[in-house]
Amino acid sequence: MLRRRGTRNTGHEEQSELETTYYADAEGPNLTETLQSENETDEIYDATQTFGGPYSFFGRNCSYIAIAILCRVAAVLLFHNFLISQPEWTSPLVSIKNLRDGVILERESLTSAAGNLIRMLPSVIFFFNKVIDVSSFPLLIIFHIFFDIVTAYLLSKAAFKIQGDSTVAQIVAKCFLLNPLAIGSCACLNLTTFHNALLATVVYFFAQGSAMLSSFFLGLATVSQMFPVTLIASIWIQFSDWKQIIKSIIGFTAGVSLYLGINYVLSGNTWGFASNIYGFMVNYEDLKPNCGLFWYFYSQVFEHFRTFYEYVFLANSFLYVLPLTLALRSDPVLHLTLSLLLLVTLSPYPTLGDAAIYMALLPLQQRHFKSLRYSLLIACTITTCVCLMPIMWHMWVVSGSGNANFYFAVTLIYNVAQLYILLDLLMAYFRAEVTEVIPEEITEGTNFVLH
Amino acid sequence: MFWKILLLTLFGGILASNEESYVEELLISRLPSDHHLAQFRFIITSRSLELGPNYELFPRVLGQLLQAHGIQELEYIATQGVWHSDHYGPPPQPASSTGAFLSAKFDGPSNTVDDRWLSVVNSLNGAFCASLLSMVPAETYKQKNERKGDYPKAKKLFSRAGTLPREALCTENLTPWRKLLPCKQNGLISLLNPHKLYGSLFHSMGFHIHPECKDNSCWYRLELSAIVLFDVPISENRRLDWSLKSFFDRPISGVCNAATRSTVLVHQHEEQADSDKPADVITINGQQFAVYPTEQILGEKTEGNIFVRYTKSVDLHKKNPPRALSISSTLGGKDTFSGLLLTTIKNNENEKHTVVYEQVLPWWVRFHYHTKQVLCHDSKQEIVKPYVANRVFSGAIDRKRPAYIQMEIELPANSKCIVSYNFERAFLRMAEYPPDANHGLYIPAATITLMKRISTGLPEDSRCTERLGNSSECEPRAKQMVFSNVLLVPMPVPDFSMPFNVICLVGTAVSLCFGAVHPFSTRILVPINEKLPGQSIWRTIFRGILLVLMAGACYMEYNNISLNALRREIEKLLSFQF
Repeated sequence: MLRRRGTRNTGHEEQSELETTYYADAEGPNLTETLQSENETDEIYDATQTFGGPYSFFGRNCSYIAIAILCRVAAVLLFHNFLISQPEWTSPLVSIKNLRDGVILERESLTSAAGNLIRMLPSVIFFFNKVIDVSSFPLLIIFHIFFDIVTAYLLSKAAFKIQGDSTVAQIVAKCFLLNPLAIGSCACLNLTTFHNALLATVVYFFAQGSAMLSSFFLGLATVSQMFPVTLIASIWIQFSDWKQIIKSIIGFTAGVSLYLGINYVLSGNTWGFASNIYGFMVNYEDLKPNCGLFWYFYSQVFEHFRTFYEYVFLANSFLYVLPLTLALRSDPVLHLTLSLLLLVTLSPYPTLGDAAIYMALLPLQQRHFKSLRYSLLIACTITTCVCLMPIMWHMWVVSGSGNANFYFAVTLIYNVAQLYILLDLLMAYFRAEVTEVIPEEITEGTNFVLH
Repeated sequence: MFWKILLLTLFGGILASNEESYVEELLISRLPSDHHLAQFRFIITSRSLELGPNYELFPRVLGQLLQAHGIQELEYIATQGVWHSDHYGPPPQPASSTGAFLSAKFDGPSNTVDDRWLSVVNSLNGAFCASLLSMVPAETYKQKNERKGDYPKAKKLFSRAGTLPREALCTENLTPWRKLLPCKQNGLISLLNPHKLYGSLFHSMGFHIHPECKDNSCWYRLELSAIVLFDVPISENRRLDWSLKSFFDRPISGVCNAATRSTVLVHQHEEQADSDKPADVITINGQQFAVYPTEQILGEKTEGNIFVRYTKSVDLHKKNPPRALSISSTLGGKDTFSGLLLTTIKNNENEKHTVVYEQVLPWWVRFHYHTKQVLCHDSKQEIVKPYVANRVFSGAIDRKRPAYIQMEIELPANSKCIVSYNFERAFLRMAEYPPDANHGLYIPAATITLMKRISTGLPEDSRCTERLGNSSECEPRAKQMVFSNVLLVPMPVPDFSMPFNVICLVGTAVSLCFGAVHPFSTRILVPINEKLPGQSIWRTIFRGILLVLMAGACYMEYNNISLNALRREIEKLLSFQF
């Protein structure tokens, strides 16, 4: 069950136009809008009942799935070696090379002496040791493609649940399946596909209305990546009564403790992996360039300020939970999307593939698209930056004709572009909100000022 | 009073001769590659395992160091140059790779070992004017080799070792080393002329302390060694004839009275024609050595110098077949980020050899364990997988310890084995780069320890020459170790002039994020239908001025007018007006 503030449906002309297109596209017999009133003053409608109908992911998207699989197979066969040598596509936490090291060390029972060679959870290493053989290339390809399709399926289903519109659901699926970032990430055979699938599960149960399950999977995602913990705020906005929040806390705690427990047992009843993974993230030990904001910062910052900035930026990555929750309390989906975006931008070791998941959720904000100011600029900037990254890397490290600043500039602009998506969506959202409240004040030449 | 002093000195002298002992010897030999090798050995034994408080011959510096830190074994060697073992034969022991090597074995509580090790490194760093400090903690590893000395009882010892691939050796290091000896001016030490020493092809100096036991009594044995390899002289007559003066540029001066034995041993080469008459000729392991006591060399006839002449002049075009085992390392890879480390071990012997391969990789070499590969090309040039056993591995911890790899490899006869790893370089913090960052950093040399010795024909252990009788057989105790070259690894470097810019830019990006979220959560969006102050006439004028300035700048750029020229023009204009 999805709750919305009723104000959104009424008022603005274009908004209602958009709604009508929804009606036209939606399948299924039940097109009547049932308005329910609860104790709260807001009007609430049930999206599932309104637009609900059969949406077959595989039936609708089979050609795109085929293309996506073809693209991924081609990419992995042609570009795998190139992509894994590129720093922006991999990080020590997800790289296939480190995974192979971990598995080999596990097989030779040298894990305890490995120092900080392994940056993976013991359960992941166990999985790739016992279940899927990491040395078998075809099996790995199948595994990663499978997880990508699962991600697309879950996101698309979630989108359908949220918007009740199979067109949007299809666009979401396409956005993930055909996103070059997702394809590249799959071609690297990174663990990113696995992480993306976990986050997609969170989004799926979030849309399905299961606070418990979505928090449970969020718990798993938190153990594997730490920073997704901020998404719990989105779940609490979505399911804002106490019963649901308690359920969500139970689910989250269960997820975290279960997954941590499994890892604890698999690593031979030690917490060694925790410092190797979470300590590694917090202390920013590896200064290998990536597509994030901070690698060059930490290699340049003066030693006596290092600890200060480590804490500042750690706090910064959790800082936006509260203000965003307050500002977007009436739109949990936008909150979730923006939290995912911030997760990618502010995490210490992001890869390009991480961005695919929030990019796939952007079509859900379709109603804001016409009031976005920088959409073309952002799209071009991100495309340019992603293309420039390997070139700048080559100039710096391979040919020596450039220096580190070149690569840094591209990664910085890439992140600024991502932050502009956040800025633009926020602006569009508040504009729409104002328009809904006082539609009579808004004309063509109206300016909006923050006061 | 006089009698008292005399008695005391006599008494002290008797004690010393009974208890502590000092032996010095110099062994000069001609290698198969026609190079001459001079090995100095100075051996001091202590009275018992309890050192001090009175030190007669045993150096007080080291004695106090051992006592204060609970050290059982201590070894320090500093080497310059590369020993090409397929050319020269197996290296003389004790040996180390180019640079410095320090290892210690501690007893006592395990939790203080690291602190004690730091303190030892600190002390030796000061005592030898070396740059050992950079060894702690990032270059320190735990050696898995067995202990070298005898121990009265089975003690649990904790080993720490460190290698510095880049350690320049100079007189400032030689002087403190020389000061450890009882005789600093007289005896064989007078031959160690820094000019000749540091001009040689290969030289190493160091010391090794370990306990030694015999018949229920134990003592420390301190062996100071210096090894010099002289190049083949390409003079007109191409003769290899030598004298102590030609090697060291000075004769022996004076006798060291503290030494119970002070001798020069000369290996009798088959081409040797003529030499000073030795006091004795002894046979060790089937090889003949002429013995010259220092007193004899200082005699009137020789005046501190001895000579050897050979029958033939040297044939510079003679090609010796490669000998023994050799190891060398090379670096692969086409960029400054990822790379390939190749270590080639050649077995030139006609029998198979089992060697222990050891490699210490600093933490900034993030090697990929799954790419580790050992392959051999046997005598028929076919690729075979050698038998590898007893693998020891400890991974690196960033800025705390290096990675340590050890394995036993069975090298087939006449084979070439290649151990390879893929690695990525870590990106360092700006303060961690050396002052000449673009020069790169050094990886310590790989080592192989031979399980079965390859005979060099020389008495490699000082114990072999101790009795100086016709002791026919002597098996040295120390394991034979062969070292590869150290590797210079170019590192990817950041722009060192950027810290402020980077801090500002990243700060701006983060504040952009904060600036997007914060106002939206604390303020409300208000629609305004009047003209905004931003659209007032003054702002338009201001923008106009900016536009004119920009146009002016473009014009200047187009016409190559510099800012200074413009300033001068304006000044001229102003001064003209006033």
